[in-house]
Amino acid sequence: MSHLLEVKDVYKSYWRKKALQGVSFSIDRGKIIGLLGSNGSGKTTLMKLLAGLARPNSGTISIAGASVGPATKQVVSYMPDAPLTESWMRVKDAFAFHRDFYPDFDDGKAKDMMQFMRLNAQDRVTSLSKGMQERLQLTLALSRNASLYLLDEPIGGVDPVARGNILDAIVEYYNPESSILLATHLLTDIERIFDEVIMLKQGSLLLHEEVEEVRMKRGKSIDELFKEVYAEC
Amino acid sequence: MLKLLKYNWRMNSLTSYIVIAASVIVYGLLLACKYQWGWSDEIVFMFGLLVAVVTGLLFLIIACVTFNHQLKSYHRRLLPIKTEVEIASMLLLAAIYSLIPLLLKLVFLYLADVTFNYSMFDSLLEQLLRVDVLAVLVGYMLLDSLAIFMLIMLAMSATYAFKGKYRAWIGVLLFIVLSIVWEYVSNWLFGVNRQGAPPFVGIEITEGEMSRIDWITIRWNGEWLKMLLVSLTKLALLFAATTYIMKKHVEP
Amino acid sequence: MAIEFDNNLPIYVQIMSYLKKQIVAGKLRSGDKIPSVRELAQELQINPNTVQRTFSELEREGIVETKRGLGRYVTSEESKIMEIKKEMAGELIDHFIQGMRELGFASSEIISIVSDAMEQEQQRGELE
Repeated sequence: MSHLLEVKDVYKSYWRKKALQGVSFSIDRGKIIGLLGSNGSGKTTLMKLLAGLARPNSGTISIAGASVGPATKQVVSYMPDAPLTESWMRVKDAFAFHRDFYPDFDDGKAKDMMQFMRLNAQDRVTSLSKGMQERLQLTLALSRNASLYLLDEPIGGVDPVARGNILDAIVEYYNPESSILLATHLLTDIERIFDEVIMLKQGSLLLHEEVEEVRMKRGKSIDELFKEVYAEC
Repeated sequence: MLKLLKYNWRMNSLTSYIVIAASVIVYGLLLACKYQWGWSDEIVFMFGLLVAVVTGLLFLIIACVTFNHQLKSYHRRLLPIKTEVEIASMLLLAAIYSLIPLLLKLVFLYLADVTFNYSMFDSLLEQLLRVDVLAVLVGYMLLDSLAIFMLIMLAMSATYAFKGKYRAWIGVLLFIVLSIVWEYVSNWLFGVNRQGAPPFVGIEITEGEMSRIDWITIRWNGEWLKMLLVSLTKLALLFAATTYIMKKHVEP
Repeated sequence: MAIEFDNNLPIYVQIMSYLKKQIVAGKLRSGDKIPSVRELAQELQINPNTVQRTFSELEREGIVETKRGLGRYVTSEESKIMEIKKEMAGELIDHFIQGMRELGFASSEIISIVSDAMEQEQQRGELE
């Protein structure tokens, strides 16, 4: 059986800092997976490697059977914690940009989400509030029919109402051919959306389990498990 | 490649238009200086040259900033584009940015209609403004600016292959070292007779009476093909080196 | 549909009990259509696979049936519903009796306390 994403024995260091140490796991299609860890655990580094923004020092990563490169960038949609837009752009330019470069960009989805997130096509990107910018980021990332979505803290700096909208969007656009890897530390609202959860600590993989298994076997919520695991951090 | 070009152009469009407008205004003023206020042709010509150089530099800066943006911004680096295409697109942008000041300068020269008291310069200018010579001149200058920009791109991507505060100096050093190396190589290949003149075109100086230089003829340099091929090879090598660095090592 | 989820327990189990309660209490009647996986997932903001699992379990227990091309419906067999109702009541009662025993009540005491409580409730109801 081939997995959508296979990470094998990946090591990544920046000068003397070891960001990822021997991380291995795989993900199948149709899953929503939480990537958890405190700051410095290697979450963002891992996402960058999957997105093709950085290369591992050793180990392999394959997405839909291909190594990371322009081919995988076509099927991976990354929402980083940095803007996906340029300061001269209006909202419609941001969409046009993504439409122009990504063959899997879905105009219908984009229009729907734009309405749903209450984004105005004519607004200048620089004039948007932080909350609106987050929503735009997410919209741009989810408007593609990607195989793998990498969302880095999509509900981080966002008010509860927007948070609800974002969770709604994620569930609404779920499809069994794609998977979502979502990095977060705000668990209570969001843990119900996960199929599986991956926990990283100081660059190593601590745990990769089905969420319902955790609840059944350990009688804990993911939030509680998280607090236990990262208590000393 | 063209899509990237379109967005790079749009990103800089306001700045570009301002630079173009400013240079047009200054050229206009210079023309007024000549025709309204009787400034001498030599001074008008010199200032015209200055404007061209400054405009060229400004566009060079815009091009460098754009490439830096391409190297650093996440949304650019996430694009499913081959590295070769990225670089080619930047070169195309640099070509456009080189042509603009060049064309503005040529229009100015044509309108300014400068003549000098030294027939040497007059004859030079007259011959320069022939279409075939101009075409070659423009082609040569384009190739030259592309080569310089390509070297800058190489230096910039080398910078991003390293981490730390002083990595910019690595780029600068690389630029300087490679420039010096090229000087030696071209001297070895073509001899020391270039003197800053276009390599495709040579200058024959005929002396008139009293050893005053009377006439300058522009003739085709017999080695022009070799020079063209060498320039293109140099560009190709720089292109390959930059591609390699960007693919393997760049992680801003 | 309002469910208070407890993240410490498997979600699919909680949805199952909720749906069973709805069915048993008559809020969802025999032959009624059940929301689709997508609808339910969106409404509750939970993972669609979890909802799928719930439905699969309910189908396995015979409480819910799938009609090809039409969707999922509450079973048309009233007897099945009755069975589940009794099962759920049984669980509650077992739990209650255990709790009362832990408090030290004997069987006869439990019965009289319960009938007293039921009477009181009825009186309160008549007053309102």
